[in-house]
Amino acid sequence: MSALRRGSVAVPVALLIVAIALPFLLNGYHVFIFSMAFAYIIAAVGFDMALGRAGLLAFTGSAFFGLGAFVAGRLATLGVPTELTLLAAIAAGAVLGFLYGAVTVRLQAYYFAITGIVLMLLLNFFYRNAEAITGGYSGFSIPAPSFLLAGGGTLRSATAMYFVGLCLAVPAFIVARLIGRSRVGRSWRVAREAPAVAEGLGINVWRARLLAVVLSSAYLALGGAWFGYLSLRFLPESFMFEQLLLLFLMLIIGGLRSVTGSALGAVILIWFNQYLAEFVGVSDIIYGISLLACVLLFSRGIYGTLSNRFRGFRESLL
Amino acid sequence: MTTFIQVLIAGLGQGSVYALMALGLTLILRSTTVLNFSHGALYMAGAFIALELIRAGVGYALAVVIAIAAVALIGAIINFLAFQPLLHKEHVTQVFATFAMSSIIVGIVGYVTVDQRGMPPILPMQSVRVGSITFNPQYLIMIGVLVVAGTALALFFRYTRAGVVIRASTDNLRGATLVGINVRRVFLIMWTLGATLAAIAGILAAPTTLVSATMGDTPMITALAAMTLGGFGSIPGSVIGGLLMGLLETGGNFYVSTQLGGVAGFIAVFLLLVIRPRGLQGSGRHVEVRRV
Amino acid sequence: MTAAAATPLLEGINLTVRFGGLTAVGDMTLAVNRAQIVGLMGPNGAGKTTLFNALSGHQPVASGEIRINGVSVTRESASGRARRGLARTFQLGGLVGDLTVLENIALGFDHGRRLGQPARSRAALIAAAREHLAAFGLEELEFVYAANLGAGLRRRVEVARVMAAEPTLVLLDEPAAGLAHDERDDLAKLLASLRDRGIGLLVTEHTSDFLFAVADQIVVMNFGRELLRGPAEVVRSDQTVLAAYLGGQHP
Repeated sequence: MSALRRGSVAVPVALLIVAIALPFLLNGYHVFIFSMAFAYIIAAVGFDMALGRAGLLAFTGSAFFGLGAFVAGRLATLGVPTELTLLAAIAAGAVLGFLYGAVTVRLQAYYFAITGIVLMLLLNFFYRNAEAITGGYSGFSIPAPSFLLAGGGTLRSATAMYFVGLCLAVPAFIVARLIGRSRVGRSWRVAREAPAVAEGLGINVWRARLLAVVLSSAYLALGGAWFGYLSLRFLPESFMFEQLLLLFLMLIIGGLRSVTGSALGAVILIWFNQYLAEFVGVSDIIYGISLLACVLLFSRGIYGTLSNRFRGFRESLL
Repeated sequence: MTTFIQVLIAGLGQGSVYALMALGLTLILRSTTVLNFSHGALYMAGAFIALELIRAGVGYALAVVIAIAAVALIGAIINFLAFQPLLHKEHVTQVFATFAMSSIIVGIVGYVTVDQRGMPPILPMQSVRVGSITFNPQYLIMIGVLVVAGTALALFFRYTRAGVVIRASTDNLRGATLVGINVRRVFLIMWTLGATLAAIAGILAAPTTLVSATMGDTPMITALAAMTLGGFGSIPGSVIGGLLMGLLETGGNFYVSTQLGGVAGFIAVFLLLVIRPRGLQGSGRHVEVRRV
Repeated sequence: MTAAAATPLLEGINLTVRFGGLTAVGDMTLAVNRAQIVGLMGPNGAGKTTLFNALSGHQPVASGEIRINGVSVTRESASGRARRGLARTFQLGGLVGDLTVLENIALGFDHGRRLGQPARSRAALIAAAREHLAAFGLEELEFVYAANLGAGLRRRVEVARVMAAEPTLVLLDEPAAGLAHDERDDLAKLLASLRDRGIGLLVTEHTSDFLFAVADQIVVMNFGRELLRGPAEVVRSDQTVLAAYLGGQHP
């Protein structure tokens, strides 16, 4: 019992094993969809830090996701190797996240939410108008990734992309889990539930929230960067409300404050998204109904509720 | 000078629409502490239903009335479906629920109509000339409706028994239940009222823009910005903020560039929040996000 | 028991707190020394909680000075003061309801880390927390969610959490409220043992009996100002204090 409590590794390890086996069991198209899921797994586990753990009404998900795609994609068109573009995306996310958070994190919940929307709109404005750098409305193509470590050859096969994505997602997942169970993660939790108590414990709530924003922005940017490589194109309009709603859904369905949950939520939503693409025009309605149903029925997300049933699976803070 | 007055009228007119939106949002926010993210969808639904009725041959006035009633009904449904069941859940959850309703409403409308439509104006003329100033009379109607609606609401909340009861219970829900006020009815009334204002805003704005499933997205954000400018939770602030946003947008569009107009207001909001975290009204109304 | 003649752990000097036109705390001065329990008493609305919050940093002051170990902290945030060794409890909601007791204790150790305790691995942290719970007789509650505890146990867990940080200065906000008689006695004994270890404690209470039993010195407030101060025997027999609790005696 206590071994399980100490933080079930059972589920994530099982998922990892499945993930490694998948490309050998599925066709190229399905492998590609799962690849896409990795980009979103990174984004979702990061986004949960700000939204779920720190409890901030962060509407910044698609803004930083797009920023990552833009930065990495732009550098890629200039011939920069992929290791560096991904690092640049993370850095860009962290820096902009810091600048944004430093001025907004002290704001009350709804005001903070609005600044997130404004950021998204401002970035979109920039993408649409700075045509020389961003390609305007229609964006620009992103070349296939090429890693220095792999001798500079470009990656094209679905399986190769899949495994690279896995190699990005797994460390991201592990780090997110470690952070969640560290002193930082605990301080977010107290700062969220009871800021007065947090202050009384020596937690500088402002700094803790800023850290959450910076980390989540870096994660979102990394996810977005990989998303860019998978989409082969940067398009400003794909980083607005629909993208934000998708990220929200991933967190809600997976369950807030659960790293495994967020990852599962990402996979589920990506597949859901694919499935819905066939029913053009109805996807919004179905998303809306699913989100509503989820919110009404599962107070802790599907994974969260399930893990409540089986207490041993609860992701402990320790 | 004449252009200035034209810009002023257009700005105030557009601002009145935003003010009505912000007013509805504020009423719902004050009484339920939920920020209704489906407000833009309600705005759009009002315009859409009115338009479809008009195209089906129903008289303008009747179409408007039916559309407003229909959207008020939708507001009531949202109250029962997406708000009351979540009264004791986390705030993020409640916000998501209204988001979900927005998706559903926009999705349904988007499914039924594919294209954008034009809506006939209330008065048959495109423009009116007073002296050397030409403007679209629709703008005056917008301002007029805001004045009427604003006055009506002010009178309602101040002088009618129901209004006073609602005002009292809005600030202290727990106290209200203890005193025997039917809080659920208050919720229902406020949701219906808020939705009604959104519908009115949509119907007013429709002739000056295109009616499409997503027409409510930007006004929703603008209304949020308006509330921020005026101080979240402040009723007069929401009206002032709305008018300001309208002026900033129209002014920005005209005097600087059409691109900038769209974001001018938002930049202003961002700067304002950075400098003055509580909005223009300072330490006025401060809506506590209800922590469960 | 005489307090050591050293710098007081905590001092509040001529503190005034205003809410708009209302003076909730007017020109209050008090100090807490090592190995001392100071009680803060007064009828409802006397301003004790406001003063308390001002000292811990959760309430800004209009004028006056606050010092911890002689260092001025008037401008410092609550978290800053907490990092100087000040630990406090809360009347309501001091524990995080949907965390387990063990996790709540861990928060206390996190506070300790901020006070200079050495870093611990996760395994060491869990072990230390378990040991700590056992020292307070609470080991069976390890996996219980804090929200499911009754008032008495919750109070004990909160005090345990406070002590995990090994603070020198502990502020308790109405710790005896809602406790049954035997729970109060246990709490009084616990606080006395903390004092004997050299910790300085400030305890606010509405019910006087608890303070009479436990405090070395009592400060009585009424209408935001000091009414009387002295050891328990003096305060309990004072007529003005009795009147303040029973009637609405205006200054």
